[in-house]
Amino acid sequence: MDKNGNALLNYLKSDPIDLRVSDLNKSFPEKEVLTGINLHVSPSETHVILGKSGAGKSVLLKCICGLELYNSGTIYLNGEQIQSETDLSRYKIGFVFQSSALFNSMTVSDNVGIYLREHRLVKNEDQYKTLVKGALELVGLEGVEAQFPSELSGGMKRRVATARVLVMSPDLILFDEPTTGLDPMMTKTIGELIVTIKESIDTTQVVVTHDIEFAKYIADRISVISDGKIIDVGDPDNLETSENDVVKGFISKKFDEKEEKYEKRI
Amino acid sequence: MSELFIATGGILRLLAHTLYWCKDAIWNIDKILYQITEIGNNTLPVAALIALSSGAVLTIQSGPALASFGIQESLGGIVGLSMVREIGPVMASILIAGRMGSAMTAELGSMSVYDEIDALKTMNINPVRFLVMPRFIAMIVSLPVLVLFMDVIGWFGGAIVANVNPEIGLSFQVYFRNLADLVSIKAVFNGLIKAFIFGVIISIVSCYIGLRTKGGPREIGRSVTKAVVLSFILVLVSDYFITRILQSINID
Repeated sequence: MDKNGNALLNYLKSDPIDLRVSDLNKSFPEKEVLTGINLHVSPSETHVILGKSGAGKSVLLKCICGLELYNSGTIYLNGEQIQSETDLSRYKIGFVFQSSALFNSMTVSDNVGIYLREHRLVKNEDQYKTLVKGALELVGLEGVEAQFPSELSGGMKRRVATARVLVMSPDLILFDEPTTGLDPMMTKTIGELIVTIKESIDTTQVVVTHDIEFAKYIADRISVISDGKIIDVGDPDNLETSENDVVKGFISKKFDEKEEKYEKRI
Repeated sequence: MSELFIATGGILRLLAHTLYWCKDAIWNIDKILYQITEIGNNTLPVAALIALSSGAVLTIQSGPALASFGIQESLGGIVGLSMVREIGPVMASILIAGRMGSAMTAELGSMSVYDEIDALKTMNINPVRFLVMPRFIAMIVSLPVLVLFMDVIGWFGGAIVANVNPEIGLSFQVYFRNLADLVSIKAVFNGLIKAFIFGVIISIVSCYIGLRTKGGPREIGRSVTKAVVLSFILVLVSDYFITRILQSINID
């Protein structure tokens, strides 16, 4: 991405975060969701948390950005222990929701620019429009500014949600299942988008997914989570050679499960 | 029982946060004006109809009885005072709670269910400042204005029936002279104070229940019903206490 060609890239001032999660526990009244989670994500790293549905991946992301309270454990951002909302508010953490969570009553332009407007970060309407356009270009969307979220496809919504996060100059971006419900072509587009963000913006990214191929495509490192515990951490290439039985089972099971389901159906 | 205390505490907490964020009203004037326009567009025609028929019914109910004693000329004062003190504020509040309070709960409930509130929080945008404060200010400004509008329409509704109905047969001049003699500025102000307090109750209750909605579309429907019913109860119950307080401080 040419830095001079995109207004947003010239505007961004991200400061990639070092994220460390130490012995994090979270339980709901009826279920223990996270048990002794330890995780380290280096600045500018794209770290994937891989696991099946119900493993506690999304809850972990929500604990990191303060949307869920945790029972015990510690979260450090750049070595600073996060103890309150005030501590957390010093960092710009973008969250791309699984549902996209776009504001349905607002246009795409207003959705993307809401952070700029509400924090009064732009000097005038021209700068606002240029930055919003730049963010949309960065995620591969053009000419959709005046549309409403209900007029967009699932993949477009996910990209608008990403653009909304990009205008924050995020120090850390959290993606919650960014490919759920998308076709393989759109999954590839989202994968390319995450790689583009990594190449063009100096920011830390944590991506939660259950899609192994997608994870291998975007990740610098992968943590495998199962039943609320991180059971293995490593480079994408090393994942398939893991000695951990659960990891081996998870990787091979994915394909076995598909076959079994197909056989049952016919 | 514990739920009642939690809800009361939550509503009072939301009210305190909303009052605090009113300091940012000037920066959110566009949102406040939008909400005022919404309230106006959605309620004015129905409010006019309700006020007109309320004034007319008051007249048709009390007019013939007064005429049988030969004191029908005091009808203007009776209808005028009833409208400004009770019927205007209560009817307007019931209408606003049903029409706008329900819409607020549905909108905020839907935003809550579909992660939009969480999205605001991750962008360091306070949901109370962004969503509740503009609705709160719009409501406390609009409701007293709507009450004044309903008062005037109600007076005219009464005047028309008093003039047209052969059992009453009261001229416009006599009706409005008596109304002007009996309806003081203090009485009108009394109705406006009530409307202001009802506006606080409806907006905060509707927003509180909307923001606390969790689950799916069915829960949004339940929240709307809960907000409307609770608003009605609180408006009607508080009406007595507000009246009593206003009487004791000699405003009523």
